[in-house]
Amino acid sequence: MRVILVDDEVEFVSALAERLSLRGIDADWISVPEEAIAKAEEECYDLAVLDMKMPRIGGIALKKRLHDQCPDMKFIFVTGHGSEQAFREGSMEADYYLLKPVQIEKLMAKISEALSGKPEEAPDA
Amino acid sequence: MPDLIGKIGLKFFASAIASISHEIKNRIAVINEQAGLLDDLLLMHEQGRELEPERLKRMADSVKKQVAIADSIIINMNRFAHTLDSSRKLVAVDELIRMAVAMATRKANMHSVDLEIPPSQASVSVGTSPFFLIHLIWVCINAGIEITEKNGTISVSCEKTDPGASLKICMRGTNQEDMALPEHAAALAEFLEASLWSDPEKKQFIIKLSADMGQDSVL
Repeated sequence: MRVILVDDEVEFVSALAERLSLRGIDADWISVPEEAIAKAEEECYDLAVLDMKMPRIGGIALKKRLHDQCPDMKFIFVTGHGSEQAFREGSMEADYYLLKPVQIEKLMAKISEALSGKPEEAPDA
Repeated sequence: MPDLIGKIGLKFFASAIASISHEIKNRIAVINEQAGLLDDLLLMHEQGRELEPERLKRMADSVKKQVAIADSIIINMNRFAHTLDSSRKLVAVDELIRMAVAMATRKANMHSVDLEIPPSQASVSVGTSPFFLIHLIWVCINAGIEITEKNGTISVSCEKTDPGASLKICMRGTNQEDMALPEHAAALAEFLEASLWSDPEKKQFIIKLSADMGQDSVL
């Protein structure tokens, strides 16, 4: 299982990727959204975890670009934005949508759900 | 007029608070990941993996940095909330510029635009409504961000005039001829008894404030 995390907050995305790696997930991270497009040209990941609000190219636009390159890739959005509009947009565009701060157990459950296509119960945090 | 600017003022206040809360959430998210990673490393240490003191120090530094950023965001939010304490008072315009720039930085980052305040900015005070003046500065900066191209810069400066102050929001990195401001900018300027215009040639918005907006405009 190959996962890529994209968020402009380096200290957030690098720590989250390391925590996923410690849980057995092969996770790469990138803090510049455009570089994720270049990386997906080299290889398709199984799943991308994208921040919705990033400089220059937001999560929704990035998802469209990545989906064009890798149609089978699954997507999870994360955002600090708890507005109704953000929730609507995020839920419509991605397989899952999580609010920051992220609960690792919830993220793990959503990753496995997105990749298996079967709903999973997240353990209580 | 008070009705109109009351409504747009409330909308501005709400959107500023939403943006600030988003910024605070981002800081909390980083701290949460660092704490989670620390938990993970401690768990692995209990299972025999060595802990690296240097690594722990970097994580502690990261948390301290995020706390300092969050603290400055909250200080700004508190100052912003207090701009509503008085409808009219003597205010340091350069202080309001710093606050407006801090509040617009996230949007500027999203557009890859830099905001700058000239370092030699002198302190200029005028009698005005601090809340509506910061609102007007913010409206001009936002309009500037919309027309400034990627990697452009917006400089926000003020200088003392006799009497009053002159503010300039100057865009570097735009070819836009249309430098229209939103309609409510004129209403805000009128309320503040200020002159507001755009200079398409120099790519700047100019706000001229009188030394004292007087009592008539007090809401």
